[in-house]
Amino acid sequence: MSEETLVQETVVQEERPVPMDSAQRGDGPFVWRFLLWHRLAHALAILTFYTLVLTGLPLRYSSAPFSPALIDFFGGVERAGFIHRTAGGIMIGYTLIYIVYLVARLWKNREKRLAWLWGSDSLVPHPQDARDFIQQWKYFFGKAEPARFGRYGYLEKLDFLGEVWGFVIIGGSGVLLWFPEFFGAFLPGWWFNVATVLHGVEALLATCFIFVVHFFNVHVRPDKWPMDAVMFHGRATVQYMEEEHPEMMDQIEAVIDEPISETPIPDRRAPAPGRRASFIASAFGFLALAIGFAIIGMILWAVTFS
Amino acid sequence: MTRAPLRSLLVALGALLALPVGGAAQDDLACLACHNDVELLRAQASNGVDPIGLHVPPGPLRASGHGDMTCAECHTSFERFPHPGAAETVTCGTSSCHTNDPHPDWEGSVHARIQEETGIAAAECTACHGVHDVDALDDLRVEGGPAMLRMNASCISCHEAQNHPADPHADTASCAGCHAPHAMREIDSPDSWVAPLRQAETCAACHEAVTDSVRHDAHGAALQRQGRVTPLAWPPNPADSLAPTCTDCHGAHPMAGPPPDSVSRTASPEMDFQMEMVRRCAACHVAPAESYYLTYHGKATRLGSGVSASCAQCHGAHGVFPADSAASAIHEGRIVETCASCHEAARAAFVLYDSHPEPMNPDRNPWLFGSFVFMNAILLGTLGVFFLHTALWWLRIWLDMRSGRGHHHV
Repeated sequence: MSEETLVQETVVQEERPVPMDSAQRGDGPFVWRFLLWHRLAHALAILTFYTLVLTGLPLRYSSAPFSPALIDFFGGVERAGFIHRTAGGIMIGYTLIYIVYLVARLWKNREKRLAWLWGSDSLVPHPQDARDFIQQWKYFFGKAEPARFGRYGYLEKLDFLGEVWGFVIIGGSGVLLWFPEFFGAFLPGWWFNVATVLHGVEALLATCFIFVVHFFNVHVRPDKWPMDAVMFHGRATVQYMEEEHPEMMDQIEAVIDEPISETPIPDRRAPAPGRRASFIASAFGFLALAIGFAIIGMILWAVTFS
Repeated sequence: MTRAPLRSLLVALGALLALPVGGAAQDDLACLACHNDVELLRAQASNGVDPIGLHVPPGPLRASGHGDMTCAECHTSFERFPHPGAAETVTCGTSSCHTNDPHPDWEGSVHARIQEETGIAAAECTACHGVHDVDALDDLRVEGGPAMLRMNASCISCHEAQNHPADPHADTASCAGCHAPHAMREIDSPDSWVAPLRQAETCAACHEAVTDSVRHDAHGAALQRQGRVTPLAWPPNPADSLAPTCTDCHGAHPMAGPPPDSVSRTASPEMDFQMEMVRRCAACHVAPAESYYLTYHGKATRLGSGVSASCAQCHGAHGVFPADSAASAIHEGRIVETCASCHEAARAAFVLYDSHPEPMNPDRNPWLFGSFVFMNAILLGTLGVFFLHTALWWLRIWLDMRSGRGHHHV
């Protein structure tokens, strides 16, 4: 690396208010990207998901060298099982609340329903997502510009759909295995064998997808790393939005001239996150990243071991 | 020193005078006049003789099983004084009590053979029973009593490797209880009380109910059929399909418990025992153990649940029969009852659960096989596409950043 680039990089680093947070890149004004309930839901998802993974992993790889220690950390198999089912119950609970909320919101209002399905903010896959996906692969080989994502690109949609799919598969099989005597009264017992396979394989997929693909896309891409804390403090700079979600930013360009809104309102101008908020957001994010990568390490260890 | 010979002569004379007068206690008084006086013995012992070895305080003898016997009843060749200087000639068989010496059972024992072949005294009468502190047979038979523990200690004084103080048998059973009082045999002798075909009867002396159920079950019947003489090497070779005896599963020295080098993973010794038993079953039943560890039962047990079903909970511990036998706990006529011992609500549908699933075997359960293949295809497909996506994206941005191309902000 030449001396010139080194100097350049140092300058760029200093320009950032909080260099460890790629959501605060550039000097630009901030906009509200995620509201309080988005962030709380995401934090709750992290807490329950991590609890489920850490208590479930030693059972899936029961012969792995780390499993006894992990089980002991939770106070034994029975206690780990109780914690696992509690976290699963909470996850099912908030997902059901979300589904009820969604249905109540969309049931009677046709316009909202159509917007949720086909609008520019939709989390439902559109033909454009397929086109973006193909363009992205071309871009990887230097044969196209990178895709211009809207509010949610296909990777974010995939995270969301993965949760829906995971909720059905892991949640359904989990409940089945939670109450074997109840379900065993009318379902043949080998359903529990099938449920065990569904639960274990889908959980492994979810874990690897979140801790590798999601972590990479969001946090450790070379131009974003080590942390994108937008989901933790809810704000991102205009520069961030123009680079990560250009299609959406085009639509809300006018927001930059508006006055700052202290209360989180979608797409309004936001105050820059304070040092304290930045610190808490980054600390939480780094802890989550570290544990997630450690879990990937444990999975690799277990797979190589057996 | 000059006065000592005179003194000893006087004592000896006294002893000689006392002898003809008779009476057991009086006999002993004469003997003890010298043999209970260490100073005297020290002064009078011939060269090369340990005077302490000649010292016989009367206490232990009086408290022993021979408490009412006189010295001369055993020491028949010591009537005259001075004593013959040669070797001790006591033989237990000369008394009216023990008419056979050596004991006929002992004559065929491994101890007798070693003594004959090497000339080394191996467990002859006094080595085990003591000299002047012989315990009475009735005392020896008291389980966990001081006499029995003393006898065990004398066995252990040679058989040090068999010393396991924490073993449940250590302070309740005598060595001779399992290995025969006098007829200890070589480890591979069919006449040994612990030989594979005789072991069940030996253990049954105390554990009758348990032994009864194992005599004719799959293990017991196979053992009789195979007629195995030699002990099983541990760990066994599963390919040999050798039926186990009591000790093959439960161990002997020590009895099976948690493996000594592992930290206890469960809440109680009973649970530790269950876990060790699973390990022992798995040593022969390799494939069923592998499929068991695919289930929640197996995984939770391996991690120390202690509550989750292990081998014996479903198959029985003793009285194990193949599934098609009506006596089996997992026979279709009994399996609902067996499952219900943990899962109270178990019904006919419930027991269709496969406790030894084979997800990769389409013939065993096509639905399980199908879901296994389907789920793993989704897993590998999704991760394959998106790991590649991730790696290529990472590479693209890195290359662009390095060459200064693109619009990356860093």
